[in-house]
Amino acid sequence: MTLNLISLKRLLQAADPAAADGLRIPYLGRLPFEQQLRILGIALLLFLALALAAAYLDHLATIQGTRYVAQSSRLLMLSQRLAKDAQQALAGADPAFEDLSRSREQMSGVLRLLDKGDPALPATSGKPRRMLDQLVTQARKLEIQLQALQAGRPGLVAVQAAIGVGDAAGPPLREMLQELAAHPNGADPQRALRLALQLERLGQDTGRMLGEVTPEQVERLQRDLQETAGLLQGLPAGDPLAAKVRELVEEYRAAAGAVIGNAPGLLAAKHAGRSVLDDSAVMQQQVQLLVDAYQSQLSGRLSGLVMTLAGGMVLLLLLLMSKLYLDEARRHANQVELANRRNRQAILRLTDEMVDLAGGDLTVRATVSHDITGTIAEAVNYTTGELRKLVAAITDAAAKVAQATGAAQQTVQQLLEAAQEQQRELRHTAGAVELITQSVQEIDRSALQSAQVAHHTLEMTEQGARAVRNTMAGMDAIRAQIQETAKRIKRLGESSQEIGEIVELIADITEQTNVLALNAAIQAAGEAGPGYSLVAEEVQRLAERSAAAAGQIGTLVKTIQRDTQDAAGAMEQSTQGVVEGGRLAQSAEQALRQIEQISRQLAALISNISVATQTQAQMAQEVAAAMANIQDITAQAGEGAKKTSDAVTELAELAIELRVSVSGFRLPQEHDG
Amino acid sequence: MSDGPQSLGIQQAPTVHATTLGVEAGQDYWLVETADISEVLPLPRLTHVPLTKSWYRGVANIRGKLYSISDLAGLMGRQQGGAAGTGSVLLVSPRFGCNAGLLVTRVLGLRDATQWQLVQTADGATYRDKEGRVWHKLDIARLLQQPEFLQIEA
Repeated sequence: MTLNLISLKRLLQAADPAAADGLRIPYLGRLPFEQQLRILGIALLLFLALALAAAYLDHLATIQGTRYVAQSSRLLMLSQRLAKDAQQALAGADPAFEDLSRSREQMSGVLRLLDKGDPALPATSGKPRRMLDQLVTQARKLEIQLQALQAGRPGLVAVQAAIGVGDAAGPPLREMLQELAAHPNGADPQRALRLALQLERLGQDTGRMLGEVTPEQVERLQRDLQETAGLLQGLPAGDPLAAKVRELVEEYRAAAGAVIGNAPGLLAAKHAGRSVLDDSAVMQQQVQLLVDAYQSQLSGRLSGLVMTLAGGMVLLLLLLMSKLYLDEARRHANQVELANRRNRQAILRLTDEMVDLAGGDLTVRATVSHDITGTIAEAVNYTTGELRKLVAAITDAAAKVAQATGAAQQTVQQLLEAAQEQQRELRHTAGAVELITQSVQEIDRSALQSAQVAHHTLEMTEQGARAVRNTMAGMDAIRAQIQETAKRIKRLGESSQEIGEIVELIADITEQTNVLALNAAIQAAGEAGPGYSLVAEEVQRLAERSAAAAGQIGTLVKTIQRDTQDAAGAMEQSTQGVVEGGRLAQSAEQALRQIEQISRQLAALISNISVATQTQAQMAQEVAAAMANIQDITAQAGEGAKKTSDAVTELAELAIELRVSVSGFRLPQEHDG
Repeated sequence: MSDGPQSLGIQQAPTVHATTLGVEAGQDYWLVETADISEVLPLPRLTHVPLTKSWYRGVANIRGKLYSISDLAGLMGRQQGGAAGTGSVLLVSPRFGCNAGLLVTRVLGLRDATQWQLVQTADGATYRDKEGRVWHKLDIARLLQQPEFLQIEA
């Protein structure tokens, strides 16, 4: 213990490292660590949010800018197509008008989108807005002129049609007119030539109208048409060639007439068409400017820069925070080191004081200081106090133990005697249990025999029941036979009755015969003489004998009938007897069944008894085993008591040794008393 | 009936010619001469005649002739025999000139009394046959002339 204290001292005197201090952040460095951390954290979150927002806005602006550029490029394409369509429309091509109106609609759609915007695209703003406004004004102007051009559509188309008709009809007309001039069928050849000339002029008029239209041109065309009409009048009416010429010329005239009908529209349209061509050139320039403005707006957006700046700030803040953590950790380590050095010195002091205490001097008191060892010293003082009390108590207890061991020895002796007595009693009890086991086994054997007897009884009863059942079956058969016999006897009775009736008939006939014979005899006595009388008498006598025989038969039949009735009665009685016998057999069977049931119950009960007695025997054996165990335990207890006696003696010796060992401690005088 | 043919044979025919008829009336047995009667009949339908003696049984129509039927046993002052509706009637011979019939209990058949033992009594001769029965001789001519027989008024 002393050695341990000294080594601890040596360990504590080892050199302590010097504390180091890192650089600090300006302004923030003066604040406590947690507050610095919180400020930096909030700033980090703010910049992160800013970066995210800038990224989102940049993405949105890119999409929209791209769309603006795409739409304005489309506008450029549309304005070019418009110029081309307008040129074609001026030339009188019919499908060009359709294209024109489609292009116009598309252009106004794109302009509307750029001007007002839609759910995905906001309205144009900023620098391109000005150009867009100019463009819209220009587009409106163009719109009005396009409408004018559209209004001139029938006129333009009519000019084109007239030229087409003229081209188609020209060559054949010329040939026909030359033919007409060569063979004038009653017509003026000069007139035909003039008509040809006039037609040439008409072609020129309409052809010129394709390029430029002026009111003078229209007027001239009208004049030429009237002249043509006049010349046509001069052609011979009946000539088929002239009729054909008239037909063709009339067709041509109708086409040219349509041109004159649409002349005012045609004039305005031509004018508008030229304006459209001029305006669309201007408009193309403006659209090009708009496209450039959109592109510069797209490339010059601010949100990308903001995003980069915010990202940089986030990184910087993260670096600052990690540095703060490192500084704090280093500072904490320095503080711990300082406290450790102080503690080590205090422990060294305390160890010096404790050396005597370790030597067994309980009078020593440790100095209580304000250091960390102050409480330890206090605890040590308290411990030495308690130790003092303990040593005194041990001395006291050793004396008491010596006293108690004397009493214990006496008790143990008594215990030993009691154990021996118990052992004797146990032996006696074991003998009794053995006897019980034997008697229970005897009962078990008897029960087994009884069960066998019961089983035998059961078998016998079953046999009896079988016999009774057989008897019943026999009785039934007898009854059936008796009934059959009775039936036959009844039939016999009926037959004998019939015989009786027949015999009665015979007797009747015999009686009549008798009377007849008598009368014959009586008559014969007077009239026929003795011979006949003899025969009659003989007949009468025979009849008498027949009557007597019939009477005898009748008597016999009656006897038979009586006998058969008696037999039937006897049969009836026999049947009743058989029925009675059956009933008796049935009741015997029931009784046997009851006996069977009872013997079954008896067998079950006996087997229950057998099981119970077996359990009992088992239990008795277990009791015997338990007794043997108890005997063993009691013997062990006796032995234990002897050992306890020895141990108590040893204990007394140990108490003396204890007193001796404690006597090494030095106690203050006032506690000894 | 196995001896039927034998009974018809000549061997067993009695050689004596019996002329008397044995009848039973009440408890008495009578022998009547066959010459005195014309016919034996089973009991015919009788028409009762009122205010007559008890033995006068009534009038019977036999083949268109009316006969007075009297009970023989009752007439002889004996107890009238037989149940009502049974018995036979002996018609008296027409030579007596009297349409009368005697009702007897039973006609026993022709009997030959010559072999029987004759017993003379106060009121005439009686016979005793082999079975010990006593037979009276009925004299119909005398009976018909007796005033008691003719006086049927009660």
